[in-house]
Amino acid sequence: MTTVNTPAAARPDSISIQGAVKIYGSGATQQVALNNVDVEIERGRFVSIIGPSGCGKSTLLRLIAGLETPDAGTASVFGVSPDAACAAKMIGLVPQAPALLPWLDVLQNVSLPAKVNRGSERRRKRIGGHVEKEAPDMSALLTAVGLGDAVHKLPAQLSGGMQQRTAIVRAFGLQPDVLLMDEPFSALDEFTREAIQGQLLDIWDEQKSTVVFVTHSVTEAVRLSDTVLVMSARPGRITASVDITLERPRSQDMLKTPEFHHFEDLIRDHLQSAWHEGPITSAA
Amino acid sequence: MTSTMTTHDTPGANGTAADGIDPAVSAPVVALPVKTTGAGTRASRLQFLKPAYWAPVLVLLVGLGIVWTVVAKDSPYLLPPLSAVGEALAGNPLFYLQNAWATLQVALIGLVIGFVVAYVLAILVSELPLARRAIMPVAVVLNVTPLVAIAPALVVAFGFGPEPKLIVTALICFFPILIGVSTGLRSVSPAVLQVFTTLHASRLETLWHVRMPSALPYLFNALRIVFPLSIIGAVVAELAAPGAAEGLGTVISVASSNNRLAVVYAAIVCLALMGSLLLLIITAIENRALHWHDSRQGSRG
Repeated sequence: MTTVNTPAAARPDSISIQGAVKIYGSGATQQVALNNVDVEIERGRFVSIIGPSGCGKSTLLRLIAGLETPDAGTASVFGVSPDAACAAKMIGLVPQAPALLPWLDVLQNVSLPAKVNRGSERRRKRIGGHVEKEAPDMSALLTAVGLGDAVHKLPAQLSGGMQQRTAIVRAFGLQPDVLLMDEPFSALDEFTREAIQGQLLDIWDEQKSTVVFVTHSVTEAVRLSDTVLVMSARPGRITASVDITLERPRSQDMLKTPEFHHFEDLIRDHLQSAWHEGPITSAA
Repeated sequence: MTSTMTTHDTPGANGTAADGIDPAVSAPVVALPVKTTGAGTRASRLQFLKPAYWAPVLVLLVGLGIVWTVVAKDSPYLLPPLSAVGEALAGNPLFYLQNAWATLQVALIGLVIGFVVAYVLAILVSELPLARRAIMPVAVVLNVTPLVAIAPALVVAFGFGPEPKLIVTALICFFPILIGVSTGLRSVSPAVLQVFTTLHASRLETLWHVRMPSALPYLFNALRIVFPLSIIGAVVAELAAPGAAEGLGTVISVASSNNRLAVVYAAIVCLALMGSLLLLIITAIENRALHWHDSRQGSRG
């Protein structure tokens, strides 16, 4: 167990994971969630991580969020440790479940992050890698994603899609340097999912955040990303990195084009070869 | 569908644009005002008026009243006639009101003391594993100890003043609140906690903004148990301290030693009414405070 310090090589303009190892359990039940993973994500990029269940993609995301510490290797977010990045509110998290507070209405929910950890502004200024942005108007942001009429509704009065959009606005509202999204649309129906993808791209385009997006949908990964990282399981590792060179903005119509299918096929091939290479028999 | 890309440029057109994007998602916005909580409570209030709602309990009460009257006619020392209980109440309403007020005061003050102590300890127990290991075993043992047995000892120690009554009431209210609140404080979903961890919210901020509101449904569950319990605690303490000035417990012990059964039952009626009233009040507060909670949200599309 090595402690994670800010690595000397940490670059202020990228999220950097170097030689990360994460092992759960010990002895016979030991499972290698991440095996010597190197990732370099430049500022402003939309990067998706795709792979089968249990390949460690969520673990990788949690590493960047500072929710896990690697057993070996280093993680840094724009030049500082994940923990320091959290302290400066440089990280916005959108979990799989919307995780809204049911007693607060939509506007109160998205405004709450500004009310905690008030010292973060001071800390942000001291971090070289941070890019200063003005606090956004939450009502305008909510209106932009079609929640203008729902501002004073409780989460229980919203559909799943509206709840997840609220969670996205909450994360964007901090003007985080990086937005971490852990399969945020996996519980939504296809139609809603495609519509929200468009809205996510809109906000991303406007806010110029870096996004790390975990998904198990090939179509979703291709539509959203600049780069798709393909992972495979047991041990969890990155087997391919595919740059999606489709032009932006990417509309829903683009999903039907041959270029789009080309990238989908490419990633499917990578996923399948990773699946055949990797030991499929359960290590647990 | 390409209009998706430009929604944020034209705020004015947003309502329609959003509806165009995903009617499946937006539809509830239009449909909801019809079935908001306001309409729901009005309907449930009117339900009271329907015979199907109040008739069953009325039939049961009338039946019980008849059985009571028959038994009371044969053996008046088993049950006093209902008319005698009514006369006792009507003959000196101020007497019962005064004593009820004395008991209620003890019950409520004891409840507040028990509540404050239990709430503070619940926070300690849920935040500090060490405090949990120290406090919980003691609390559990205290809970299984019959408080009726402690009451006389407290009277010996503190005399006939309010102290032993308040202590017994506080003790009896303590445990349900401790368990309810400490469970509630730890009921927050991991996803919510992760969001607040990445925000680097302090423990105090997480406690205030997330844990304490999350614990509210558990707290109200405990209060619904504890409000009637507080009256039991007060009466038990009064029974254990005969000769104390006031209180329905004292009324009962004095009247029963004088074989005045009608007075005993008149006092019991008062206690039952008080308990019901407290339960009604706490339920009303709960409905208001927890309007957001799942159990109070009607089914939605």
